[in-house]
Amino acid sequence: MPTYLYCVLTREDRGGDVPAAVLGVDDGPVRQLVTHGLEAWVSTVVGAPPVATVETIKQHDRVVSAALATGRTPLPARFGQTWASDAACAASIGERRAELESLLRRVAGLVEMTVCTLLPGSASAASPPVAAADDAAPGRAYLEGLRARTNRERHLRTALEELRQRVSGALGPLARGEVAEIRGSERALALSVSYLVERGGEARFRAAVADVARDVATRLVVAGPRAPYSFAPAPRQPGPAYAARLPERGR
Amino acid sequence: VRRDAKRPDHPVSVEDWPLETGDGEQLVLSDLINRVLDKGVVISGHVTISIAEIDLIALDLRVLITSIQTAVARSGATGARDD
Repeated sequence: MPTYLYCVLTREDRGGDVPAAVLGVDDGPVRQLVTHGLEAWVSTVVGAPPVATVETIKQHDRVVSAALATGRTPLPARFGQTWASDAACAASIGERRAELESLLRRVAGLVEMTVCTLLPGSASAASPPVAAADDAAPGRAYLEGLRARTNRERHLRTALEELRQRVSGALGPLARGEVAEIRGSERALALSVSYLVERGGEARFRAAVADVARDVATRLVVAGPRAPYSFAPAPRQPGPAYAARLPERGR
Repeated sequence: VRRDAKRPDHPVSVEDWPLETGDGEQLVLSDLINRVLDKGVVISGHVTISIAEIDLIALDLRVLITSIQTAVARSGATGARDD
């Protein structure tokens, strides 16, 4: 039966076991797969591969969070990776052992903290512009509607970029790494800025966010501590699905 | 049709995501979904993000899902080999 992967950690001989209460994406037990000097947290999935739902996504993250709670910092795996068996999973980990070990050293002792905010567009931006039936120039009205939507998105992106610079200026010195992302469209744009922060530094980080929040009109939300999802590498050789997705990023 | 995001095993839908700046919990959940599906190390194996039952995931994941659907259709497979 297929083996599903949640995360990879450095191996420790003592402690760090998977808590019995932690269940996998299909409510099955999670176990440690020790291989090539590393430790993977996996579960056996029965039947069809897991479907991405709110609940299965949360379950995936709960397992990764449980690994983070052992005191080690795991490399979280992207949702949906399965192998035909434990042996096949172990072989893949072995092939990338050196890279994984390097990444684990980079994130050791660190957690990810994320600052999020959302700027909503206008309500009318959610639907395509439609000219009125009695409009003498429906084509022109349509194009003007498109231009207005483009301008709204540009305005939102400019505002978020200015906010990102303020956040980076205040929080960057507290962190060992930073990844910023703006996603969405003219309907709404979200800004997420993720940082690698030393364990124990979360309170100081939140206090710094509060200082920034006093000076900006937009509400800032802090998420974390989390495993360093944002600091795991992109696929070295993207497969067809990811290759198709990559050009869409940053829109 | 509005659906209940708290129902287990319920496919993610845009209707689950009211885009309100004041709702921090929704924003954090949206961010979590984005990172679990779109970030994290890809080691190998079959990437089996099942997309057939997903209507839409928040924000620009509409683009992501659409693109994956297109890619899968082109490759003629239900899961993409990513190694």
